[in-house]
Amino acid sequence: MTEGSAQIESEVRELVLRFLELADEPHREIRRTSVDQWDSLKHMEIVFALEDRYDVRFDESEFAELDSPAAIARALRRHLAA
Amino acid sequence: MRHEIHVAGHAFRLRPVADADAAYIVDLRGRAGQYVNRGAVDVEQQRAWLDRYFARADDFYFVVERLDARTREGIIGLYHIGDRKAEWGRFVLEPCSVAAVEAALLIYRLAFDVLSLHEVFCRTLVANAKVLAFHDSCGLVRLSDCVTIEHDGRPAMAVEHRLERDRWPEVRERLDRLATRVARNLAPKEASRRR
Repeated sequence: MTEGSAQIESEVRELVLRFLELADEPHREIRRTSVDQWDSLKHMEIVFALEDRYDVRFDESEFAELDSPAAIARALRRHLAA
Repeated sequence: MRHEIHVAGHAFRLRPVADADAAYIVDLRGRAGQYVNRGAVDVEQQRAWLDRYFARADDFYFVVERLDARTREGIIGLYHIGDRKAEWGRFVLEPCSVAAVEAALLIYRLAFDVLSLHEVFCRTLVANAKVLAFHDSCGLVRLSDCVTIEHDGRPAMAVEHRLERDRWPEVRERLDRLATRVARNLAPKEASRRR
């Protein structure tokens, strides 16, 4: 992972934790399936906050795959590289 | 109840359930997992259930449909209507659907703006943490005491959320803002300029 990629993932993690109102713990795994607070409404808020932050637009088909900071960072890198 | 109420939003609409939806309902509910009452196990049972539903006067059952393609995204209902309040539920969406926020918005619009109700409530199994979180996120009030409901023929503990009319504008604003953004993401990119 490059420094830029790591920074994106770190920023995404921070944003997700903020929206879910969770404290950061270094080894905490953040996945939509395992975090109860990451419900359908919060998911939309997170996706749109990311769109605004990075000036991208996710397709409907991508919404489901955005299920962890790592997966979101991958999708963002794909958009930013396009 | 057989009714002709359609409630349209930005990307989705609620349209009355029809007899022809029986097979879809059985299939969708069969795929929905442990928190949804199993209900009818085949189309014949579902048609019989729909016949009883059509005879009830206090019950509105809908298919959630995409506005653009008219494809089915799920089901939702508003029922036990009386004393100016109602329960909503029977809410099941296709696994990757993004209709949740707008479907909830539309059922509240039906309750408060079309039927002029004063309160809507919903009951969710205690173990169904994602749906409990969804109602919290929407801005509903979660009651502290659990209630007992019937789930697959057995008593089960549930959490009740309520939305009263005086808080509806605040919830509507929040849900509508998100539903607007969702609709923009469903539109073809060339037809939807960013911000």
